[in-house]
Formats: sequence, C-alpha cells, structure tokens
Amino acid sequence: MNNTAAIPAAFAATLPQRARIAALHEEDEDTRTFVFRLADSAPALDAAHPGQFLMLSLLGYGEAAFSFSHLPRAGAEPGTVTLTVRRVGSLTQALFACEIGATVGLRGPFGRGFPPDGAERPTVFVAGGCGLAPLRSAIDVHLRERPAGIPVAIVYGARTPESRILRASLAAWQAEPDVMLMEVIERPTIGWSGRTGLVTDFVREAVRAIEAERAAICGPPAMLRATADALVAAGVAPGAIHVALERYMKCGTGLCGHCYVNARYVCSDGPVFSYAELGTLPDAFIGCGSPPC
Amino acid sequence: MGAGVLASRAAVDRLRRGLARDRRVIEPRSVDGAPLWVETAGEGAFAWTLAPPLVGVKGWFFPPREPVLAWDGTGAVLPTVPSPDRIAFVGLRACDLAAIAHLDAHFGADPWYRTRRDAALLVGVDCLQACAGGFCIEVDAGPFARAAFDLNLTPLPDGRVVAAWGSAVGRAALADAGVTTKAVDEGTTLLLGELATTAAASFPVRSYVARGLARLNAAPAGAAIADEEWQALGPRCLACTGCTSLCPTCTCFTVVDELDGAGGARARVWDSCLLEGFQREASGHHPAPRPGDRVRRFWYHKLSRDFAGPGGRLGCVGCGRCDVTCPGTIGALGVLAALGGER
Ligand code: SF4
Ligand code: FES
Repeated sequence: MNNTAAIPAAFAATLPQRARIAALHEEDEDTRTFVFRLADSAPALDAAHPGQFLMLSLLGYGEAAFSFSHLPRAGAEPGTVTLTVRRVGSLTQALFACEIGATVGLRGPFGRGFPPDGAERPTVFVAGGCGLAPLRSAIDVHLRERPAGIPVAIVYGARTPESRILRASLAAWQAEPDVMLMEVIERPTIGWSGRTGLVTDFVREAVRAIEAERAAICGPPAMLRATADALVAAGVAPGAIHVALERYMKCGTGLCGHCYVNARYVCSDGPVFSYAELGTLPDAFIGCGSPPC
Repeated sequence: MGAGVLASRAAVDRLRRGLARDRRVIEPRSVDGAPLWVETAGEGAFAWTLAPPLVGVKGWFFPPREPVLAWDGTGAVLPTVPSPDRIAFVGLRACDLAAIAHLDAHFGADPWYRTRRDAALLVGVDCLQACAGGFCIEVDAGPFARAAFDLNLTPLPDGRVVAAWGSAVGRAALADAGVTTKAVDEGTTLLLGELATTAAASFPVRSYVARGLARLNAAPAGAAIADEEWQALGPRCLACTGCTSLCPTCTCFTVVDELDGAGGARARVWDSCLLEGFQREASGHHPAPRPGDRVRRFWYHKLSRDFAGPGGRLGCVGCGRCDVTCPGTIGALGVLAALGGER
C-alpha cells in the first residue's frame, strides 16, 4: 500500500490504484484478456458502465486508455477489472511481458459509456476486430437487463476465423435465446463455411431480422462510419446509433488536449457518441483510411 | 470588486514593496533590451510603458515539466505535491489576465495547477496604447483588463492611478501596504472612459480579423473554409511549437515516465498539437494526418466560438506572440489575414 497519509486528498485521489494480474487468457497471438484484482476496494470501478474506460499505468512506461471488456454489472467479480488488450505499442508490449501476480496501476472509470437505457428495445451490436472487447461488456449487460423475448443481433467481423477473440463469449451468446450472432470473416481460411465479407454487408439483414431500433458500434476507425451509414440506410435513427470512438489519450480527464474532436473531448464527452452527435463533429472520421487496429 | 484612486505612482511603489514583504515580486523589466519577467523585490522604477514580455507567465502555473508522481525501488508510489513560493506578478496586461482566466477555467480543480495558481497574486496594468502586433481589442481581451486580476492599475496622465480590486486578497494587499485610496469621482470616471477610447483608437484597422473570424465561425462547423485553404497553409507550419509554447492559453501536455535508478517519476510535459505525433494512435490511425489538418485544428481551437471560455471569450486573447515567433508567418494575424482575404 502507498503511504498517502500526509498527502493532500486532492493529490492522493489522482494516484492509480494498485492491482495485480490475477488471470490471463490468450485471445490470439497479439490479443490477451487480463483480469486484474484491485488491492483495495474500488466502488467506482465496480460501478463502471460499458463503454467507459480506465487508464492503465505501468511504471516506466506511462499510461494508456482501455475499455472494460467485462464488468461487475455484467457478472464479473467485484474488485476485479477485465481488459482485453491488443499488443500495439510499448506499454502493451511491456504488459504482455508481465506475468500473473505482476502489479499495475488503474485509474478510472472515465468518460461516458453506452447509454444505460434501452434494454427493452431490439438492439444490434456491431463489432470489428478488437472492437469486440469494449462491446462485450455492453452486450452482456444488455442481455442481463433486457426483458425476456426482446431480440438482439450481434454482428462481429474478424479478419480470419483464427483472429476471432473472446470465443467463450461468442459461444455463450450463440446459446442465448433470441440472440442472433452473425460472424463475418473478411479473409476466410480453409474450413470456414460461415459468412464472408465485411460487417457492413450484413447490417441490413441483422436490422431486419430483429426489427432493430438501436445499435452500438465499436471497431477500427474505417469501419465505424461505414457501419453507421449502413445502419441508417437500414432504418435505424442516427440518434439511436451509439459509436465508441478511440483517440490517443494522455490524461483521461479533459486536460491534456490529446483526444479532442472538434470542440469535444473523447475522454470526457465520450468515448461513446451518438451518430447524430458525430454528424456535428466533422473531424471524427478524418484519417479513417489509415491502418485499422 | 471595487476601485479607488491612488494619489500618485509612488503609491504603486509602496504597494510593490508591501507585496515584497511576504511574496516574491515578479515584474516586467528590460533585460539587454528585451522585456522579461524578473524578480525585483518591488525595488526600482516600475516599467509602466515597457512592451509585454514575449514569454508570459503561463509557465509559473503550468510548468513546462510538472512531475505528478514518483516511485522508488520498493514499489511505493507517491504523488508529487508542489510547494510554490508565494508570488505577486505586477504588470500583467489585459491579454495575459484574460489568458489566465482561460487557464483557470480549463484546469479547474486540477491540484497541481490550483496549488501554483493559489500561491500567486495578480496585479494588472492597463494598456493605454496598442502594443506592436497586439489585437486584444478584436477578441474582447483588452486593452483594459477584464478578468482574473486581484488588483488592476490604470495610470492616469495626471500621475494618479486608478486601482480596481477583483478579490479580497487584492483589496487587502493595498491596505497591508499602507496605500490609501480615494473614491473614484465622476471626473475620474469620465477620464477613464476617454483613456479607453484613445487606447481603442490606437489600434491599426484590421478589418480582415473580423472577416476571418466570421468565416471560421460560420455554421455548420468548418463549412465556409475549403480544405484546400488549410492545406495551403499546412506546409508553412514547421512544427517548431514556438506558437504553442508562447501562447498564454495553450494547455496541451503529454505524460512521460522518466527512469532514475530503481525509481522514477511521471511528469506532465508541454506538448503541441502541431507536432505530427500528437494524435497518432499506436494502431497507426491518425485523426490529423496532413499538416493542414493540424494547422486547422489548432486555429479552430484558438479562434472558434466552440472553444469560447470565461466571458464568452475566444481561446485567443490577441497577444500577438505567435505572429512574432512563427517562421512561416502563420501566427494568428497571419492566418486571419489569409482567411480574411488580406493576402
Ligand atoms: S493564438 Fe497567438 S495571439 Fe492568440 S493568444 Fe495565442 S499566442 Fe496570443
Ligand atoms: S485524454 Fe487528455 S484531454 Fe482527453
């Protein structure tokens, strides 16, 4: 424990909370799910919403933002934090080198997640690649909170069958009543007999099948707008399409300036925005041609 | 809020020495011909007419490097708590005060900023004449102070000085220094109005500023300015970060971990949105891939009503520093001239 007794409360409150890696699960070569156990109780983290994020700190490597892939609200054990992390930079590289028991720091939760209402409305979830991780907690919370018989569609796009992450969740959703899971593979390999193409090719079918009234999207930047447009074309109102944006973040609290999109901060005004709001933020989709995650 | 009249400029010297009794007094002075903020202990003549220093006071409240936590070999992690000296800035111009109001609003309750800011007393001095390159009047930030001061001084031509106080601390500073004030009578109020009119008239006519601001703020966002215009300005930005360093309202920072033996420190370090990597993500996604995108983003942040701060004021306070430093001549006036059709 840190000795923070003599530290003014306003400063002590800024410290990352100490946590240890309690479990690890390889999703694919470069994606791993980490379960962290907090050293002290953290009611704010226990109460986090799907789509919110936290800052993970590794001393010597800095901090980076991650969305929750599982949450106490979705059935995870209180006092734990679950993140599904893709190895893309120096901090994630260092995190992948950590073993069970290693200490990290966690700060959060931050931001505005997916709207908590709407469990009674048929909803389509569209995820691309590692975008399934933040959406997983949204889907699980939705499934727990929806009234019986309200249908859900999940459209998940992955590059290859092998690169699909969170397979246990995929299997669990498949087994749920009134859940339509559509896995879409961009580059099928031998043995894949399911859907092939891009998620956008299947959005209309999903919306029709469940008469969807709302949607949530998470994925690489290039996919977000195309998917939102496809949802609108299929009849979902822009205000009912919730898009999780990603930006480089250094503070998480609206101070460092790194995450701004037009006059909004992704960290504190988002990261989830409705597509109607994004219509007023022309910078949201600049640079979407650059490599996806 | 209130105001009184000091009998002479000597009363201001008394105030400065009074402040120096329990604060470090920092004032503009000419050093080798360049105006700088220097520690004076309130001694010597006050530089009433010196041009505002190119380097402002932002770094006192938002230092170029601010350690926020440190760890040692045992794994103990502690926040780094600053213990700033009590200081008084004497001679802040209206633009810099407006900028501090922006910083106050931006950083809010941030404990590092607040600790440093709470240790400072701000004494403004109104500009009776436009400074070279300043355009505070176009952005409602000057030439007379509007915001953030504890005390603000308006020197009158007859030697008297009007002192306005914006806080109890400012009021008390006058009393503690043994400076007495007289009520502001009607004649003095009229005189202040005349001085404000003369000061306003001393600014060059820059009609392109209003035109440029109008185009930049036309709805919907960004509609009135074609992408090509920004892309044409892009190559003129060398990403030197001179503007963002000098700009009194620029607040962007990055966070770096610095190793030191078995321990280390995490620090906020000034960053610049004009640097290529400012928003580049680890995945490779880049929301502002071209220099013109970054130039647009920066000027939108400074000049768009969407970013208006306290008092509805723009993020740009018209101090003119970026125009002085920019090697590509695309400081605020340079950009507004381009957008406003002046060049
Ligand atoms: S943008 Fe330029 S003129 Fe405006 S406040 Fe910043 S440095 Fe001063
Ligand atoms: S991450 Fe720092 S302002 Fe959003």
